[in-house]
Amino acid sequence: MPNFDGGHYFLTVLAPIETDRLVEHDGLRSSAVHMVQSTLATLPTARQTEATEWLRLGSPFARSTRTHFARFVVINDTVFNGRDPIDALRVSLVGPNPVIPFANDRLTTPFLLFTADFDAASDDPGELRSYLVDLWTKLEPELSAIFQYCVGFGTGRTAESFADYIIACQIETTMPFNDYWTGAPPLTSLKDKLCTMAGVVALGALVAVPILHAFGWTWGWSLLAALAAGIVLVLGIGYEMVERRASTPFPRAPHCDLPSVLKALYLQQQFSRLAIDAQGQDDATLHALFGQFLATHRPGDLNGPTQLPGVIGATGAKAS
Amino acid sequence: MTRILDLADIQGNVLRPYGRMGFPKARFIFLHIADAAAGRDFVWKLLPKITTSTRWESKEAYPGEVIQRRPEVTFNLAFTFYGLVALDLPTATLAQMPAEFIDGMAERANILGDLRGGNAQQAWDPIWQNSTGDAKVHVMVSLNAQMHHDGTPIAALATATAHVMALAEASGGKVRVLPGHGPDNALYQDSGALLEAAADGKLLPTAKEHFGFTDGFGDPVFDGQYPAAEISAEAVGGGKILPDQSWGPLATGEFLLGHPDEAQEIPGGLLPPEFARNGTFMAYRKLQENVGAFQDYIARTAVLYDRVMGLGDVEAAREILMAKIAGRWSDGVPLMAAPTFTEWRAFQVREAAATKAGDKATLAAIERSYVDFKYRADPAGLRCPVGAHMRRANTRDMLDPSANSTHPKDWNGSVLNNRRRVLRRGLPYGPTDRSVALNGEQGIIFLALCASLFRQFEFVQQQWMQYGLDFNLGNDTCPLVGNHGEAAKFVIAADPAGDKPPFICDRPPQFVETRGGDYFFIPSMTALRMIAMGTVDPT
Repeated sequence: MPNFDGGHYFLTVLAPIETDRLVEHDGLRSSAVHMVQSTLATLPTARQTEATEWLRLGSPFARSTRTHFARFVVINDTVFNGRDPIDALRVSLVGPNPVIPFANDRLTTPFLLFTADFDAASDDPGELRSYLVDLWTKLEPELSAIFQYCVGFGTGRTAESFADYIIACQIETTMPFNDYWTGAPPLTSLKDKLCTMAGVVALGALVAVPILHAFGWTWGWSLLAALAAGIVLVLGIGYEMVERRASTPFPRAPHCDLPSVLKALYLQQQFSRLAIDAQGQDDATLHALFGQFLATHRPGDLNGPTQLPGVIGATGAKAS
Repeated sequence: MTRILDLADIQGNVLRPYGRMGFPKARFIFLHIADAAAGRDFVWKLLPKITTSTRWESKEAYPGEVIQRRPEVTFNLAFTFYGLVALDLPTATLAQMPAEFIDGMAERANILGDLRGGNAQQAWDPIWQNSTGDAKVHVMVSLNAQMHHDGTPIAALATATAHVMALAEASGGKVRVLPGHGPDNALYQDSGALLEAAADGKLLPTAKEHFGFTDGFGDPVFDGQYPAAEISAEAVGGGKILPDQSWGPLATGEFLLGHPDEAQEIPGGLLPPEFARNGTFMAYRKLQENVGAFQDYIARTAVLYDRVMGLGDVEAAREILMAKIAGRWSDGVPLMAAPTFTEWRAFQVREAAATKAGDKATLAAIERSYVDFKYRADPAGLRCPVGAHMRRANTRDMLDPSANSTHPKDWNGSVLNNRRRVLRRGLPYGPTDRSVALNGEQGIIFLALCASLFRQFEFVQQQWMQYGLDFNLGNDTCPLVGNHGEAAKFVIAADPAGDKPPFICDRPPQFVETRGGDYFFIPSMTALRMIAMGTVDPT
């Protein structure tokens, strides 16, 4: 369930990297994991800073207008932080013998971690597949270069078989996060429902007391048993209710799809400009300036002028 | 329990802003060490001259014998990382030095915002542009001197300078003074307070800088800096704000190595420990002030501000704009104490009346109000804009995420500001009369002292001066000292309940530009002796 949250799909993929052969790139014969890292090192990043804004090369992911964030990481192995701390006195009395190394976890193969969060209507598997197919269509050269040394990836993949591979390597995203809410999301408190539930249970317990007594229990034992059962029921049902609520996706924020976000960023910048230019102007000029603003920047039109994906600032804004 | 510092072990420039203590003339001499033994000899011979932090006046009751005769000229020494390499310090000591100190200021240009417009270092003074190979800056000797009433330094400054020159001369070229300051390639960098003539014609030092602001308020106050009897009063406005909203001194370790800091630990690192103890780091920055550009911009924008706000007083608009940019009125009165032009004028009248009447209690209260304020009551920046220079440089309690909670128990005071403070020890350079030059060689020699240049000075410079995200200001930079790119702006917020709109200062030009500098280590007297003797032993 946490793969889908807040109107976005959070994809997490762990693809094992080959370890059984050496590969060659530009005359350099080296391990597959090294060459995956080398390929990633040459992958252009988003033009996120003033220093890179002028570059003509941008992140290939900017071609996919559903992608908010995408990230690749090579995980070579797990980290071993040393022995668990144990009281030295206890060790000297009962062990374990510090000379014997602690067991520690190892990965059997390095992994390529690929995470992305993208616009999706629901957690329907079709949403993920359509995204992956679209991604392959727009980024095939980069994706095949990155994934080519992952176990079983091979060559000659199609959009559909790329999607098959990624879905096979998908793991559950246990802690998705994004924040496009500008105010508090419309969440209702469970408090009232929990109170009602506790009330119903208490009423039931109250009714149970004379019934138990009728079955020959003493009043004291009947009361005690009803109380105990009531507490257990309230805690059990309450826990279940909280669990259920927690596993429903966080509501989708308004206008949180990428094209809307880009348009919003674009408008913010253009409106700042308007606000500055309009300072000290009379009403007629202000009216005219705002009319001009609406005509030029078309706030309601996502296909109108907007900010380019993968860049910071509207200097690279798309003229419609 | 107040911490007692070994004042005689701490160099005087760490605890004292000399410029405000009767030494308005400063001179910085930079040297290169070509030979370690000659370098050690140079340090050894200067050692007896070094001014420590011992007190000059007996009324400052610090425990122990800590009084010395007030010198005519102060001497202080500091080293760049490569200076310490040239002095043959052990690798095990050098390897523990902080990365930013090893890099030096030029290498940190990206972080500091000194790369504006490509390679802005082309505008640096020759000494800093040439600081490589056998012209690498290794040592800084700083001298501060008293002044005659005609505005010239006392003769002792020339004598002290000649002494340093002679010591270098005597090394036979093994310790060399590096020239290259300003357009005339001067042999050293002079700086000094701006002067104003008194009624009797005598020139007196002021706390003004070239833009016309009054500088030097709100320096941090830390444990041990003042005698126990004075520390709690001194901490008001300068120390840290505790969760219960009272003021207390900052931890000593924020400004002196080898003492517990605000993380409640003694930071590890430099070896041996007695080499680091009572020392600190310093950024030396020569900051050019483009006074002409500043005045033009303020004059131009004041006309618009006057019209938008309907003041009918362009002169008042000019003062208001300057105050909103700095956070203080031009005479130093904080916006938090007097948020409007009228209130400022009233504040001045009150101060003048109290001075005339010799009303000490009122004067003390007025003096306290220059520094004793918090931002909790002004989260939107209606009094002092959130992006004003002063509010960025020392955020006080502004970043407390629970500052506006209705439960006082949630308040955290200045906790997110306590590890970002720096001691400022700078003075202006250029003509001492503000009316002389507009865009020539003038500005501030900015000295920032702190235990970690990375955590304190660089953080404030990068995150708070050259960026605005911590204040919800996007990438707006400091209106005064920040880089002003093509779309620079400065927002003066307005009360939504009022009838005036907010005002946005549009595309200010570059007011302040770096002309060079470097990072220095200011050793304790113990460490200076160890350096001179060649006995720094990390084992």
